[in-house]
Amino acid sequence: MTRSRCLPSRLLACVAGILVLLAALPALALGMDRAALEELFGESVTTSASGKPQRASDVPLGMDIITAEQIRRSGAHDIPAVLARYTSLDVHQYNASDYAVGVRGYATPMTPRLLVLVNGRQVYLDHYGYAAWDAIPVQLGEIRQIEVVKGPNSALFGFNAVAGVVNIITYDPSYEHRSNAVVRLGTGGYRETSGVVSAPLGDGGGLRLSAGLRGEHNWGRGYTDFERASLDAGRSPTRAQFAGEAAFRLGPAARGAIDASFGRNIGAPFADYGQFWREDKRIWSLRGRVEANTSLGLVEAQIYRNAFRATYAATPFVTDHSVTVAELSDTVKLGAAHTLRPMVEFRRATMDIGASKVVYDIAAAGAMWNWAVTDRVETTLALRYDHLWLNGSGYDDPAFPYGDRDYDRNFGTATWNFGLVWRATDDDTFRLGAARGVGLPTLYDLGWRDSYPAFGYQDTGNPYLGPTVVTDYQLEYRRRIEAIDGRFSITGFHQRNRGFSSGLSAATHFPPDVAYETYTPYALGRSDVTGFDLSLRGRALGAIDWGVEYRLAAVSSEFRPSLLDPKRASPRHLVSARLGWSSGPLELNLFGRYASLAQGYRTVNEADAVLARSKDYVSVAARIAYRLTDRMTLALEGENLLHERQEQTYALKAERRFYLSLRADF
Amino acid sequence: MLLSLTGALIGMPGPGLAEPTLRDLQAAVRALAFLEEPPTGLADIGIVYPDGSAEGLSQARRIAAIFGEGLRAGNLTLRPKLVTVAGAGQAGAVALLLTDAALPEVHRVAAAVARSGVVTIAAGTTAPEAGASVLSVRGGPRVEIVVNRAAAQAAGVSFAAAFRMMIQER
Repeated sequence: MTRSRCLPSRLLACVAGILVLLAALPALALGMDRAALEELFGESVTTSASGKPQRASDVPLGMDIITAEQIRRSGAHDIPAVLARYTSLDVHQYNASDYAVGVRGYATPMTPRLLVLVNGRQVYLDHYGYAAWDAIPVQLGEIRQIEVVKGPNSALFGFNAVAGVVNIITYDPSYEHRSNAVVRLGTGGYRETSGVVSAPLGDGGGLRLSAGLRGEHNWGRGYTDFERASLDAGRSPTRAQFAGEAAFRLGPAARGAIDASFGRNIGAPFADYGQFWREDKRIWSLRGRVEANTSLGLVEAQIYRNAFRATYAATPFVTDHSVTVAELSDTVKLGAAHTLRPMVEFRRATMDIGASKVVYDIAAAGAMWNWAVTDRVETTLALRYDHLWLNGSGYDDPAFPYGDRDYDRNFGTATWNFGLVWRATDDDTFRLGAARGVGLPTLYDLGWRDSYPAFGYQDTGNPYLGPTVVTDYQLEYRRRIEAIDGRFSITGFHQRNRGFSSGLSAATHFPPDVAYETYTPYALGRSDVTGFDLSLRGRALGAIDWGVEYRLAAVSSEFRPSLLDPKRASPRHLVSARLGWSSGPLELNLFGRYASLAQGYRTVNEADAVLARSKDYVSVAARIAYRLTDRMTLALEGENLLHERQEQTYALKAERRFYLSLRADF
Repeated sequence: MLLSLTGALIGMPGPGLAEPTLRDLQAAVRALAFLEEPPTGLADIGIVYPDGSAEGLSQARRIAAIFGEGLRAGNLTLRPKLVTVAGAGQAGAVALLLTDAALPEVHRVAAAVARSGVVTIAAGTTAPEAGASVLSVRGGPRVEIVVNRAAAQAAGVSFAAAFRMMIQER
């Protein structure tokens, strides 16, 4: 406890030291104006691939970038729905507000494999190892772009960036004046209002504020009797979110920013073990950032704390979770051809479930080296080492197999990314990538504990559970095609995974060794996935834009038996197609998606689960919008249009819904 | 269409020449915003041609026609001004765009504006290969920008760190 209390003050002292150091360095001009760089190069720019500012066409790994204009015209009102309409990511929607998103397979409910960030701040929840998409405190109207990294990037972002990374980039209030408000009403009792203000203020400063309120009826078909009767699973989801950022100049070449957010979501997420359970969660965040352009390079530092508290139906358990992160990096170009980015990071994550508490500290150091070998060939190598110290308290109970001493352990592991980009001609680009990523066991897997004597079983985390290790290889060919004003790309990939937590899906300890049959997580084993992504997109006649994405993911595995099935959690085939047209004040957009069958276990009562399958399906979404004035747009949006109710996952049946939205841009 | 008409009126480029297009020039003006001390407001860009060269003067006029009343990027608007190589040092411009005809004399132009913070620019299809100017820019099909580090140092200019990481340097 003493250690925990000391931590923030140590981190604050660290940040203060960094500020003093930055102030002492010779100053050059400031930072990165994404809008100006985008206008110059005619394409999106990103730092999510290597930490270095890069053009989208130069990144050393597979990446999709979804722009603000695409988001606006998607007609979607959730980030995963946007991803489903423009990418071949695995996107499963389990009820009106709950999603799982994966990259190239293994997308179980609450998948732990995709790291999600907002402007580089993790919103992925370490305690259960997933992204609560409905709780990300960002309104669609404030997103500048969504950056999707396909494949591991632990060498840049640390643990849990094993299948990919989604970095949601909002407008930068220091540079961009973007303000809007949206009111949306729909069938299914849908009502939403949101607003965003992003405006430069003073010399180099700016302010961004956003808020959103939303409610709707949940989907109605597919609950088990137990979920309805005991877990309040049919509850209509509601959310309230607020976020703000103040950016300010710290001198001629440095600026700082403070951002904070709060959100409360009540809903019934679909857990990895196949059950809806009403959850009331509150999430806070507070972050400070500094960036400075110095003679030693582009120095960036950030420190943030996320806090989470959740209560649940039918149980008095409360989950408290927090993560505190401090990062320091320096991106410097040496000579004409080499860019280096050394970094250090400290991280503390805790989960407190009342009687017991599990904590880990992680110290990490790494570096990225980018070498422009020739004008047309670039290599990037990133290496990182993370060391973890685990600690637990409140676990000494003879009824369970693990006590506090079992939690006193530490281990370290290295991750790496290698990328080679060859721009063979002005139109043809080849990209070769290889990476090793590591996914940590969740705090829940390490330290959960409960007991149900009436049912004769108990659960406990496993402090000896190892991480999931992923090695990934991918080769991409991309060609710009002037005839369609677009491009074609094909990416072959092969990935080997070792680990995979079983979650609390099978009993591992039995009386008389323990008081009751005991469920603990264990490693499921090894699995390979091989496949390819195809993408073709273009524009025509100045008014039409279109795209088709296809993904094949063939999974083989040697898994131990359990009631978790990552192998078949994702469809083997995915197709996402889109067509947009605009003329004058009118905009039309049509989106289609095909997914082949997938399966998983559905928990049907207190203890039993059955294997459930969802057949292949096609879904269609559409938007038709009319610009009333230069600032006001009225839109009719629809989703799941082909059927009133449709089986898209093995959870609830997706419902056809219509929405009418009015958006004002200022 | 308007630009083509303008080109026809003032004389089209001769065969084999790769004169800058509007896209090339827009990219060049936008790149200037990433100088450590970027020019702002209304400023002149010198269009440099060799002394006594009718062909060079013709090229310079065609380029100036593309600029029109001025090309804008952010809060900078650049207005064209025809300048001879000999007069480059006294042009009072924030940047000097070299015509193809003037490119062989780039070192003379650079010497004339050494340490003055004036950026010498080559723009067009073959500009990135030329590379002797501070800034060489091609606007398409893919925007290519090359900064000559030695020339930049001699001119007394430097570019923002993030920008330098996204372009080629020599």
